[in-house]
Amino acid sequence: MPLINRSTCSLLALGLLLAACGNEPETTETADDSAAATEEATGDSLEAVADADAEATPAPAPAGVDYAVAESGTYTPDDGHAYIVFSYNHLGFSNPMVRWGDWDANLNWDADNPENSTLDVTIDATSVDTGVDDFNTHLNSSDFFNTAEYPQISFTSTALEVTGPESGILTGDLTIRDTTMPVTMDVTINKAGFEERGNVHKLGFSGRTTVLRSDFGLDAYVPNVSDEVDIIVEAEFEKPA
Amino acid sequence: MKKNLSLSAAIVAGALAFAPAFAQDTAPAGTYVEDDAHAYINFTYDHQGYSSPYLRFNDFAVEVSYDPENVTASTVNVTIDAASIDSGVDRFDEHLNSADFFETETYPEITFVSTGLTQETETTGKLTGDLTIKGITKAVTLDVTLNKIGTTMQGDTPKMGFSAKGTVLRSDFDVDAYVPYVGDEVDLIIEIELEKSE
Repeated sequence: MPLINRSTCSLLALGLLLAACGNEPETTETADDSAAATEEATGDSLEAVADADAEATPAPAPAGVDYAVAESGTYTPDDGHAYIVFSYNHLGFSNPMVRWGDWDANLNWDADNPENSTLDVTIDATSVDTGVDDFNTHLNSSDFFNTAEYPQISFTSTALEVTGPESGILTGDLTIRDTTMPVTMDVTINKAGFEERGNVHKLGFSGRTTVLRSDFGLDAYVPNVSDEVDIIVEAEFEKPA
Repeated sequence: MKKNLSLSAAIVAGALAFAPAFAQDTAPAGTYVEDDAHAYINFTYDHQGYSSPYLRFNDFAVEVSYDPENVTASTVNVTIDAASIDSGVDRFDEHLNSADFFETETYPEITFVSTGLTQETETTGKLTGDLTIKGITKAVTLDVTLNKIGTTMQGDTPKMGFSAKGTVLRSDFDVDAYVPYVGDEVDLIIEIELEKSE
């Protein structure tokens, strides 16, 4: 049974994991679970922190990802640890990095058949956050996202293809303003775990894709400001035990 | 219009002074400061193996002293308002400002003062300097790429754009809470446009 590398290829996306080896042998994963449990117990004592929001949960990722640790069901984002960021080229000078501050999602995770998992994401389009007030205002305007008329950006998955032990390609419909286009994202599952603190099952994902904003009619200043927009998703999802 | 530089190694800014890739793109000597609307200092790290959050500092000043005749003698100074740290999560920002992390009330500034610049290709090099966080100063090295030399949109002011990347160990600066469960290594992603100020 091959060891699963945590850091596999590709880019990650809005959180679907594919477990090509959903049927990986149980023995090693059981051992990993025990090790993880021990590390969690030890970690808790080491990491007692008064601040309720502290990131104190222990347990470094075990070798490989045991999807069964995260039981099937509906997962939602851990608001404190979920990022959707995008970047593009500005006149050749630099690559600004912008995020959406507010978004929600439902990940219907099938631990036994990850390829059957589905993901729906709804982004508050007004939460686009460049760190520059004037630019935020401009992005909300009809020059760009026209958020007064289209307050949400949504993604609905349509397929998930497993490409490796921790990687896959997620396909879905992305809707920005009044345009819906299929997009594909390279996804990696970073870790599946059970967190005693909070009593939740947890899945951590990375996703990467590049879209052409002109496909969605968002083509202001193309090509001086690039048409290609790189999207980075780093998101942790949780489900109460 | 000026040709775009490829963003291959995308590294971040700071020192200027690489022999320009395009004959027509030479920036005059002088002081360059950040274009506040197009300057980003982001960083990322591993959170318990689950994900890599993306954070930024919103407020900072960059001053570069550029000498096209002696590029590697150019200097870079950066001053960051430590309290401008921005995770997108209010309670996390508060925690980051506390004594558990950056202790910004006592140490309101993070600074970088360059000490050396070496050129590797026409558009890339390594910038070394003293980074000071929480009163602790350590040498760090950034991989820097000059993306473009040009002018502002109005065409009247010389402009440069850089990318820079580097990795620091936060424990070196006593910002070591939760290491190793939360990664010690912090990857810097810096994208800065500068305009000539004088």
